[in-house]
Amino acid sequence: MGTVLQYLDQEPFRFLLSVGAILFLVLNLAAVFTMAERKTSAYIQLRYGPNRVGPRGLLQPAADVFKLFSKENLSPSRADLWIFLGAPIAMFIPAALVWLVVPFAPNAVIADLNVAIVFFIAVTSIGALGLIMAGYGSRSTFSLLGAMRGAAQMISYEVPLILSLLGVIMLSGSLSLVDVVNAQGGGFWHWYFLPQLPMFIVFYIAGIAEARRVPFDLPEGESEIVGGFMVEYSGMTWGLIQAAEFASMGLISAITATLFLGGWQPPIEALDFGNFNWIWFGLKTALLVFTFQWIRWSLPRLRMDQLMDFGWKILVPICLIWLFVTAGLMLLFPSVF
Amino acid sequence: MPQLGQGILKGMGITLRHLFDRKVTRQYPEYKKETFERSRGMLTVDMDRCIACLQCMRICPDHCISIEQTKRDADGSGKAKPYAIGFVIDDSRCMYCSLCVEVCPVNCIYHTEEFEVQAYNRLELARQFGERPVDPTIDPKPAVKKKKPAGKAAAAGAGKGAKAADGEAAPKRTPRRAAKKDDAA
Repeated sequence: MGTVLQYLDQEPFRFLLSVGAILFLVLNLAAVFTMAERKTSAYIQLRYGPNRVGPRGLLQPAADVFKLFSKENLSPSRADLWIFLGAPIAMFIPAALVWLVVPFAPNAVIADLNVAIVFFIAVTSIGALGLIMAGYGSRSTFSLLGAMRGAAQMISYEVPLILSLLGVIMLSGSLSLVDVVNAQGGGFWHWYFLPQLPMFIVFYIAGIAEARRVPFDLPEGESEIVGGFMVEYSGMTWGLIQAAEFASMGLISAITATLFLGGWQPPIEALDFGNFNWIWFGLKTALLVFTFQWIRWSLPRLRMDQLMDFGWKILVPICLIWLFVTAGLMLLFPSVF
Repeated sequence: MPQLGQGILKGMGITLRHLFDRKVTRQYPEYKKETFERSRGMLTVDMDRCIACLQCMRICPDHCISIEQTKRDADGSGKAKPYAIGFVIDDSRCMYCSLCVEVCPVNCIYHTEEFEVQAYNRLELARQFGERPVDPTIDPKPAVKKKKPAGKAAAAGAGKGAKAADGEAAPKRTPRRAAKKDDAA
């Protein structure tokens, strides 16, 4: 057993196994999140939600996936086929890829990059490319409208997303997510969400916008442009777009938990489970994902000008101010920070 | 400025409370709501009371009732009276207007509490009540009041049976159509 594990720890196998594990995780995560989404929305609206397939409706995502696979994959006759079919992949791959640098437990990180935060920023912004590909390739008015909205939104909200990370980088003095988590050890009062509370909120809001979720779901705009960039998709291409969306929702939650809520660090040191600390990571991520869904089913969508105002006139100034406050505090009290 | 974000927090508080509230879903096939008094469910006919007066058939706006009439001494009085030997209600056409129920002089046609009408094809929706099945696809053609001859023919046809009524009405329409064609030509 030990020799087999050592053999599998060598490079080509380690990488293949990790990618397999990440794909397994992300695809299943998408299914679990759809179920969670439907249940949360139902409970908020005083309904029961899906409860017919399997015990308490738990097999509903399996039925959904089965249905999607059995559906025909249509494409508009005048669509740019390669771009049209490439768009779901271009959306899904970045969302799945960033999971490689997320530390799940003390020693459970697939690639401990020393520039993991830069990697996260760089790879998530590829998601906007997939969006534009989908809108452009469909050759449909609503798709293009959605894509234009999406491009404007994602590029605008990239700015506060990156600026709000700077405080954490300054405090931990590292771009590696593993170092960031290690720097937050020793109880929840050491987590960065306390000294960086405005940054935490800004990052989470910008993350919602990056994941294109309500109240920032203008690219989709179900009630005005009937699904926006994914209007022309059907069957499993549509399923892949959905999977990418849910994966990026989970990803933003996981990164937020890692950067601001201490990753796998237990809230008090007495609850340290060693290698089983991934439970804490999972709980924090699940809480943030629930908040995503809670916000989604509570708030109405923003208008486009409100969205831009909010991004550039509120979130960016907050980030810049708190950046200076953090720098000042670090200069004045070097022993605390 | 002091109210910034308060609406969001208030709304999210309401949704959070709703998460734990009692759900209002009624799980339909298992738990059915009781129908109201005088609710209009599917129609049914008490054939023992029916006097074959054909009033329901004539008043039906959708022509969904077809009755095949005959003379029979059903009550043992020694006199042959009209008797409905075939009676069909086509639920695929019924709109539950309740006119037939109101017009029935002996209250033999009435609504039940049954409201789940479904079938795999339209003919299955036609429910037969008499001894002999009636073809529900044939329009019973109730009397048209404007023209005397047409009305008579329909009434007489109804006396002989729904099929006969349709059969007699058909030739009357054909010449009219033919005349129109001639005009066009």
